[in-house]
Order: sequence, then structure tokens, then C-alpha cells
Amino acid sequence: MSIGLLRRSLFAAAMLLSASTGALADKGKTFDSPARLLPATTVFYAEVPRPTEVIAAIYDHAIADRLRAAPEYKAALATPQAFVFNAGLKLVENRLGMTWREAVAALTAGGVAVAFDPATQGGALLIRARDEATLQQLRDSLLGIVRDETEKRGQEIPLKSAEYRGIPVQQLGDLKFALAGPWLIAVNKDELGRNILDRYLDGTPDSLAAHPQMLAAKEMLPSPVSGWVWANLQQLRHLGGVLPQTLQKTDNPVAELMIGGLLGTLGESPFALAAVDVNPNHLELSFLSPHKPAWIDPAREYYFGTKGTGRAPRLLDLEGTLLSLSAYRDLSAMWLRSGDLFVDRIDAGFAEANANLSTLFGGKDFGEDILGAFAPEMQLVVSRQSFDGAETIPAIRVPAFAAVFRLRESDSGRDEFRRMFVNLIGFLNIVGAMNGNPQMDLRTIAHSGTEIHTATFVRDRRDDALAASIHHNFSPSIAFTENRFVIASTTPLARQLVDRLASSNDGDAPSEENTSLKISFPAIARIVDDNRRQLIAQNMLAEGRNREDAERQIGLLIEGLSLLRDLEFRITADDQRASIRLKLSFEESSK
Amino acid sequence: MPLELNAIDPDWAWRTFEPSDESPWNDRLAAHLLRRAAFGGGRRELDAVLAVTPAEAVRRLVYETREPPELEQTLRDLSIAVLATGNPRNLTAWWLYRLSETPAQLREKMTLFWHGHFATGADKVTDIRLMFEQNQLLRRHALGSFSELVHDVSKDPAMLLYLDSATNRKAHPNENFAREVMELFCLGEGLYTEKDVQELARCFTGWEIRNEQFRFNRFQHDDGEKSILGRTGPFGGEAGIDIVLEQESCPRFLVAKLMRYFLFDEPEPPAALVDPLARDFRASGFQTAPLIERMLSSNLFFSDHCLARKIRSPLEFVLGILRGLESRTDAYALRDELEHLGQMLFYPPNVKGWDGGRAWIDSSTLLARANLVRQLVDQQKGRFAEGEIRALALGYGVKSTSELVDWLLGLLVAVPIPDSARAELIQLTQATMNRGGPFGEVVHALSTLPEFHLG
Repeated sequence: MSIGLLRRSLFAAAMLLSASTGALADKGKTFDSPARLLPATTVFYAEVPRPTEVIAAIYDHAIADRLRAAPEYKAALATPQAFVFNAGLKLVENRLGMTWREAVAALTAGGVAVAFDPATQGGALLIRARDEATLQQLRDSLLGIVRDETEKRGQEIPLKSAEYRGIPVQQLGDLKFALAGPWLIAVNKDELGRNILDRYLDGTPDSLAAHPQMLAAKEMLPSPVSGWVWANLQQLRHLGGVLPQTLQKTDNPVAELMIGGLLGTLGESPFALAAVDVNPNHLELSFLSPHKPAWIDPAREYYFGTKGTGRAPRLLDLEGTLLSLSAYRDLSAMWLRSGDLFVDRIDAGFAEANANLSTLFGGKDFGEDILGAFAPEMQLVVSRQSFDGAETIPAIRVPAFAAVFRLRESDSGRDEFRRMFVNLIGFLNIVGAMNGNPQMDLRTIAHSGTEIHTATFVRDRRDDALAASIHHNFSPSIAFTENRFVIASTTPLARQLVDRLASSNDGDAPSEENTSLKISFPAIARIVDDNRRQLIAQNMLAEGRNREDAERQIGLLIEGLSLLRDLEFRITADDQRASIRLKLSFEESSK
Repeated sequence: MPLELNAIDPDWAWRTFEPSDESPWNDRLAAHLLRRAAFGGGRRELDAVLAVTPAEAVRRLVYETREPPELEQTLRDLSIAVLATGNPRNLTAWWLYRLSETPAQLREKMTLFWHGHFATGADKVTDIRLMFEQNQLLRRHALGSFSELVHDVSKDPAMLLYLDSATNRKAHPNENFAREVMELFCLGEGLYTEKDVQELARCFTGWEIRNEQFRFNRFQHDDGEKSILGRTGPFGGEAGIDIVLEQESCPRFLVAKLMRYFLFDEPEPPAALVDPLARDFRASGFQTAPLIERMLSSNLFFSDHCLARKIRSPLEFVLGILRGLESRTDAYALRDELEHLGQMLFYPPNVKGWDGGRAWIDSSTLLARANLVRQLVDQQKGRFAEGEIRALALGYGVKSTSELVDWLLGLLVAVPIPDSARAELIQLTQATMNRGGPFGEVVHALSTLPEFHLG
């Protein structure tokens, strides 16, 4: 931040606080929420009830300490711009008689909110200070600094003063400010300002806080919460052009697969809510909205099931797992309804892929026969490879990955899939031979009472002491256990999955979620560490660093990953509400 | 000054240069040596060269080519990383890093020479490992025996793939490789007949690539009599190459090409200057190191006939800046820029390699060169970050703006620039200093001078 920016910030802060205080605190009612000051026509509202706690959770976190200890941070502090900024900040703190954090804590002790009211086309900022006296003291100090600065340049503060029902109001450009008791109120429209001050003075009951949708939203709000945002979608839709009535066809199949169903029903939902919870253990984001199965478009039944009751199987958690995903998705239904879900270009891509894949799968229709063989439950897992005892270790180590599907009919598909697997490996061998790539050997392994069909790359002269080919990360495998079909990028992962599915019935019990994803950062750190030499070399070439610096960079990356534990992503939907939750957990040592 | 090479006494030309009052051993000559025998150098390297006699400096460049073990390990790790990607374009980035970092500069300069001489393009070969192995082969023989090099290159899988000789069968001898052995590798144009090409091609029948390795298939070899360049017999490939190497024009062809590479772009070296070296080259069994040593330590090399008589290739241009200012940069980005400038390593334009000389320069490449320097000095990667050039100069005792300009000129420019240009640079440097940098502006301004493109 430059000194200019600091000066501008100071000026704005002083202007915010420069509105006359008046002896108005006694006139105003006591309001526990800024929403009680806002009109019921407000369509957008965001509130941070305790900003000090949010700042403390971020600024005092061990991760922030580590960042501050990093040489890059220290180098940034040593720049002339940082020096000027810090000197300016120190000056302000001296004038205020408190640190910037103490000043922010005093100013925002009762919370901060912003809102938009379409009836007046006005936006509002409401800040509740610790008390009226503190607010005045801060105002006086900041205004003094700004006055000194402007006088030094031979200018005057461009401030106009007025009054509304005994409350002095000041204006800077289009912005109007008022101090009402412990409240600092800033608006860009007179009408909204009057509306808020009337509520403050009279305590009018028809406020945003009493709006049925806001009450429903409060019910839905997770606890604890550091900050939240509410949007009246019903009202916004009436405004026209602000929100589409329903989700349009998408050009992004991955986004459709992950959140397309939710976005589809959002078109019917009266409001949406977002909440964030920050504390030393985790950072959690939640997106919530009312939900009813009747709102589900038939094209998106693949996402929720016909009655909206589809539930994902439980997450597969194996040793070294870095990513695990479980979801309820009827892939066959999605594939077959691609024309309803995707724009023409993507739909044409689906048609082309269907024709090509049908050729590869022996004339079977890929959407109907192949994907149709799977029940609408899928599990994906990505896992670190150890290469313990491996004869050939590739220079670049890629994690293994696998998918598990439940077969609609456990017996009928097996021979079909085995034959397709053999065809596929043969095809890959022919293409590989044309491109000079290594060949694969097909084998069948008996394991835990079932058979694993696997293909292993043959070692060739290129796999010398220098570096084995990246191909040796893969030994494509398929296996069947009970009514499950396992397809894995490596044989060891296929073995692990067969054992895991055989040893527990967890996989049969559905979870509470429609979609569940978990990413483990320690596992990612280990994979980065596995590829440390490769990454250092690439860093040297791509960043122009010497070995020492490159090693330090990769070390920092691994250290950074070690501060995080996992990231969870969950989608739930019942006949009341739908939600997306994203939770980033920190390691114990980083708290 | 007009070049009158025909008037030069060959004895004087090839005699070892001894510094004198008229021609002292100074920064200019030392920088000239580093520009030609290496890819430029920084102040430290200049001082090391100046600390010994010119002949000793050349001897060290030619014979002391061992890399420190740590650098060897680093280069090995980098090659593993790049080979693992499978993309031959990344090999270019690896070589750029090596060219910039290795103290064995002359060996790399000769490896580059052979890469252009035995031009092989990854666009056709496509296999990163084969390109890497050929590059290592060229490096192994870079300062060794030319005869052994030709023999090994003839069996190099990348070369045979590039010249369509991977399946050379007796019923259909492929003439590509045989033609290039005579025209481009050993003799030059017009010193053989079409019949010689056909007969030499028969010698190479049965030379194949199997599993990416050379293999002699005796069933496909034509073991009949062949008549090549006046010799007749049931020659095989090796014997065929030896017959070509025996030709009188072979050492002349190589010496003349090396003179154009190390001494001057134009004109064609006269026979009177070529012949003495050609005789010795043959007598040494085609040993390259003594030939290069003699060229680089000669009166001719340190004379005005050679000083600033070459146009810098894009590679010499950019590495000269990087090494001169002890800088590093993004090797991948540099590779892409060199591609725009027409010198993408491992991707020569055709079987003749790069033309060099005036072909490097036209109005668009001049602009592209200036833009490349702008990118180098503007980027935050490597060591071109703001203020570092001045810090580097300060470390070498540079105090004033005029000293900074002269310090840069001494490192980066082969000939004195006009006083007016120098004055403008000093003015720019002062203005840059007043606003606190970045001093890359000055390097960029320097690179737009015509003199900057002379090597």
C-alpha cells in the first residue's frame, strides 16, 4: 500500500466519522442488529457481527506468523513503499493514541454491515462502534490528521454540512454520513439515509430484520458465523436482468456435473445465503438456499434422483489418499440428456464422443449401454504411489487414481467390461507402437477371492539410469467385487480398493450428502516431496534460479502445505434446503 | 577498414599473438576472446583472462573443460527432469541453462558448431531422448577427433532418422545421408559427382535403426564393388567415410568453416590462410582442439581483421547480456524468444543448419532483439530485478554514471561507440539514477545501438 492510498483511506475514514455526533444517543433506540435499521425492501445484505474476532483469527494465526517470517515478506517490508506506509501508519496510531487494531476494534465492536435497497437505489454502510464517546474520539483524531494534511497542501476539506431531524449530516461528493449514537451510517442516496435515520429515531417495526425471508435466513444460518451475506433472489428476479430466471444451458460439463443441479434449482429459490466462519481451526464457507424437490428440472434428475433423494456413497479413505470424491450422479442420464443441459457445441461434442467410444466399446452405445450399466453412485479416489520395491521408478511420480461404480446388474456386465478392457489395452498398444511408446502386458491376478485384470508397461532401453518413463506410473487395472466395478490407474490401488470394499460394508451405506469431496494436504505434500528433484529442476529452468534458491522455494511450498490438514466440500439437499459447504482445516501445529 | 585478407602473410597470421605497446592485452581483447571462444563473460571472467597471457587464456579455454562436480550433478538432474517431460522443446531450455552456466564455454561453443554442422531437427526426429543422446555425442567429440565424430554421427539414430536412412536397403539405397556426408559434413559443394553419391549410398545399405539403436543388417547390405572418389572396392560404410575424409578438400572445408565461425563472417577465407591450418589439421589426425587453439591464439584473431567482424547470433546476443551481467532468466521463455529470432536449438531450419552472418539481421529481427532485451530487463524472474544491475556494478567499484556506462560498454559492446551515443547513455543513466532505477533501461538503450550486434 502506498502513502497515497494510506492518505486516501485516512481521508475516507475521517469523513465517515466527521458527521456530527450531537447528543443523539439518548434519542435513538437500542438495536442489536443493523438489519433493524434497514427498510424491508432491501435485497442485498452483508454483515460481519464481530470484525475484531475475524481480524484476530487471521492476523494472529500461526500461518500468518509463518508468512511474516518468510524472507519474501521481510523483503517486501524493506521496500521504500512499505517503509513510507509503515511510517504513515505509525503517525496515525500516535495521533489516535492506540494501535490500528485497537482502533478497528473500538470502531467496529458492534459489527459492520452493507446493504442495497432497490426502492431507493441506495447503498448503505452501517458500523456500530464500542460506544458513542469512542466514536467521537476516533472521528476527532482522524479529522485532525486529515485537516493537517490538507492545510499543508493549502487546501480545505470539501465537506458540506446539513441536518436531518436534529442529526447533523455531512456530505462528501455523493456520500452522506451521519453519526447516530454508536452508529456510523454512510449512504449514497438521501432517501435511504432518511429511511435509516427514521428507523433509528422512531424504531419503525417494518424493518429488514422482520422480513419473513430474513427470518427464514436467520434460522438457516450456521453457527458460529464470522460473516454472512443474504440476497433476496425473488425480489432480484423481479428487477429484471439482474438474475436469469433459470439456469441457462452450460458450456462447462465439469461445472454442470459438480454444481449444475444446485444452480438449476436456485432459479426457483426465494433467497440465497452465504456464510463464513473463521477461527484458528478452520475456515468454512457455506452457501445455502431453500430447496424443494418439485423445483428440480427433469433434465437434472441425474443430479438429485427422481424424488430428490439421491445420496452419495461414503468417501473411500485409503492410506495415502490425497483426494476422495463420492457423488450421486446418474452419468447415463446426464449423457443422454446432454441436449437439454449443454450448449449446442458441447452437445455436438457428446454426440461425437458417443460415436467414437461406441466403436471402441465393440458397438455398444456408450451412454446407454456402458454408462447405463452403472447405478447412479460413483466414488473416485486419488492416492500417492509408494513405489516400494518397484523395479522401475519413473522420474515424474504421478498419483494413482481410481473410480468405483455400483453395477445395476452384478453379473451381466462383468464379461462385457473385461472384454472391453482387453480391447482397450490392445488399442493403446497399437497406438503406442505407432508413436514409439512402450507396450503393455496383460495379466490376470487372483486377489482376495476375485480377479484383477491388469496391464503393465514393459521396461525398455529408455528406462535407463537417467529416468524411467512417465508410463511406469500406470498399470491400468479393473476388478469386480460383489456388485462393484473398480477401474484403477495402477494395480496396487486396485488391490487396495478390492480389500477395502471387501472388508467393510461402509461403501454400501449411503452418506447424508449428495456430493462429498475431501482433499488431504499432508498427502499432497508427500507427493510434492516425492517429486522434489523434478520440481527443483523445473523451478531452476522456469524461474531462472540457482539450485539453492530453487530448493528453498520448493521447501517453502512443502512447508506451506504442511500447515493445512484438509479441504472438505459437501453438497446436501433435502426437501427444505440445499447447501454447499467448503471447509479448510488447519494442522494442529499451525494453530 | 576494408578487409584485405589476401594480403596477409600466413606466417604472421597464425603466429601466436604477443601483446605489445601498440596492441596491449586489455579489456577489449579479453572481451573479444570471451565473445568468440565463449558466450561472453562477466567482469570476474574478464579479470581471470587478463591475469594470464593470451596464449595461456586460450589454452585454458581449450583444455580445461572440466565442470565442477556440483554443476555436473545439477545438469544431470536438469536433464532427467527435462527428459521426463518427453517434449524435445524442453531440451532447448536445458541446453540454454547449460550454455549460460558452464565454465566449459568453448566446449559448448564447439558443441553448438557441430549441432549446426550435423544439423538434426527435433521436429522430424520427435524423440527427446535421441536428440539428447546426439547432443551428448557432439559434446563428447566437441574438441576431439573430427574423424571419430563423423563416424559416430553416421551411426547416430537421430541423424539417421533425420536423413531418412533408418532403413537403408540394398535394393533402394537412400542417397540423402551419403550426399550430406560429402556436401555438408566433409567436402563442400562441387567436389564430388552424382555417381560418387550413389556409390557411397550403397556403402551405407544395411545401416538401420532398431529399438532406437543403430544396427547393421548384413542381409540388406550391398557388398558389391563400389567406385567412390577414384577408389574402388567392396567398401562398407566406415570405409566409405574414410575415403571421404582422405580427400584433400576435407580439412580445408572444415578449417574454412571454423574460421568463419570463430574469426570473421566475410569474406570467404583465402586459401593462403586456410592451407597451413588444413595441413596441420590432417597431420594431427583431424584433432580439433589444437586447431582451435591455434586459431584463437593467433595474431589474426586479435587483429582488426577479426575484432567486431562477426554479427552476433541471437544466442550469442542474449547469452552475452546474461553472462556479462551475471544474470539468469526463465529458460523456457528465452527458448521461445530465440525461436522468434530464428535460432531455436535442436530445431535448425534445414539440413544445412543456420546460415549465420548477415542472415541473422533484418529490420524485424533487430526490433525483436530490442524487445527481447526489454523483456529480460523488465521481468522479475532471475536477477534482472530492479536495481540489481547497479548493485552489481557497485560491487565492482563503479562509482559514477559515466563509469557505469563504460563498465557496461566494456562488458557488452565489441567496438567503441560514437561519443554522442555515449553521452546520451550517460544522460539516460543519470536520469534513471535520479528516479531510483530501474537500470535495465540503460541496458535496453545499449542494445538498440548497431554496435551492440557485432561480436
